[in-house]
Amino acid sequence: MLLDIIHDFGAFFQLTAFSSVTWQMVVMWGVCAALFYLGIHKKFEPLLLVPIAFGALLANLPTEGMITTRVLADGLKETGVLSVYGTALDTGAFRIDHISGGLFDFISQGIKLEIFPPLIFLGVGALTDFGPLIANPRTLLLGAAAQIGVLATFLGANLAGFTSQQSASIGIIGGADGPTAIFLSSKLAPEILGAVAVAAYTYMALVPLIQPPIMRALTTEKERRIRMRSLREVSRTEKLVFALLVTVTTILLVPAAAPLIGMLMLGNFLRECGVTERLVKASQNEIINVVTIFLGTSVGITMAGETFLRSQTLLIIGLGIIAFGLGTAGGVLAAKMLNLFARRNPINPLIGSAGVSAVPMAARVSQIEGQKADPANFLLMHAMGPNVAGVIGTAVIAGYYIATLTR
Amino acid sequence: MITVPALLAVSLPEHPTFADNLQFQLTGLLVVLVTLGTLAILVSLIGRLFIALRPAAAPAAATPPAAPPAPTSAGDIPGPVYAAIAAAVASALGDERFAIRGVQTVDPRSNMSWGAEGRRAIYASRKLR
Repeated sequence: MLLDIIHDFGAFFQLTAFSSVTWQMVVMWGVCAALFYLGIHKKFEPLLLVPIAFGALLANLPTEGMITTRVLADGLKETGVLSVYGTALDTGAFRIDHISGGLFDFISQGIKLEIFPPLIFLGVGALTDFGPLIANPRTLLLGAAAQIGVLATFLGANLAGFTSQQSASIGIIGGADGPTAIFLSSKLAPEILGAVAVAAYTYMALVPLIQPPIMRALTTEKERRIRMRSLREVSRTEKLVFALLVTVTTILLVPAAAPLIGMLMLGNFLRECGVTERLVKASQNEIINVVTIFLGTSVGITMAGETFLRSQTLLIIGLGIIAFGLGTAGGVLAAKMLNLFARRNPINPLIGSAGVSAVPMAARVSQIEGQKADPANFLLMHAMGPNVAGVIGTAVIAGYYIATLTR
Repeated sequence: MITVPALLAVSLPEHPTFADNLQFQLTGLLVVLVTLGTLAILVSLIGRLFIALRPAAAPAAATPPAAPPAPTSAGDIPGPVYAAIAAAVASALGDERFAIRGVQTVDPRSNMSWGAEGRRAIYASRKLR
């Protein structure tokens, strides 16, 4: 009888998932633990890093009914795979009989079909006050100049052996805009989506450490003490006109940026029109919160060990910090250049670094660095101009890459 | 539905030469600068239009009421500064009667500067009644 029990227990053990655990999974548990540490203990963008880490944990467990994984020809794993069964009809149409997949195979379609990032932009638009940008339109140019980091890193990544599509996804990390980075990567290079997202959100959290040395190295004490003129008051009508203007102009010039810019400005228009309070609250809270959970976990489940544990992941993370640094430098130098033409109304170059997006963290860094040079100088609202301009700039450059590099 | 011109869509292979890639990136920089530069010009023009259309401010009262006499003791604040503050308050409040109960210097290096800027921003956003 004892032997039977042992035999049955052994047979039951065959039903458990222990035998499916691979060494890559075990290593990824360590990676997940590190991400949990950064998100929870260090508070590095916890709203995204925690769901990403949990999604990565699920991707590296032999789950059932959660995620379907397909091994590709090159040995990499593709997660979130839906299988559609049906019948080809004589009319040429296809009748779907059955769709099989786990919970996250369906949820992650929000990324694969590029739905989540634009929905996040809806919430971002509803949360953003473009007043400082409208009051000082010159700062739009700082948001454009900060995209130099994206472009230069694209060059570097391509030289390092990445394809053009992958290079674009790596370069966009320098835009410091998580949803845009995810949007572009899922479109051009889904195989490196996990690494790009982790790098983007980690560096966004590290903005207060990465940017100040660059800002100080590129500016003089006198420049850091520049006090900017107070911003004028911007009326509600002007903000509404701005939202429509950005929508029409940007989409006409870069149609591929339409999903991001369109949703960003829809959220902002709802906010500024003053008659859709319930919709604004939903965009600012419920929608963006729900989508953030699904976006984060869906990014996490792309991080299967076989795909993530490669030398190129380290290279992506290394190139990401270069992109951030170059973007910061580009914004600061552009502000100094503008000052050559605007001596009567100079710009404090410290606000140029905010052009890398990372709203509002980068603007806060400008404020803090400015106050180190002059405790009574308040740059925060001035820095919000290039900060939100950076969001538009990153969406535009993403649109350019999508239009030219989509396979 | 927008169709990307074939010339542009195939302009950059997966592993282009450095020169081709550089040209591609400079084109991208131009796209961003033109887009955001166009926006900057349009926003600036529209802003000027809005400023021009803004109704003129109501004329100041011909004879604002005299400020009540300032307290004689103001710590380390010089008398002329006290008078200037009282005049500024009288100018801002117009016809409204007021009394200054105290004036305090704020050390800009202290943490109060944040609060002061916040209060300034809030006051600046309100119309005086």
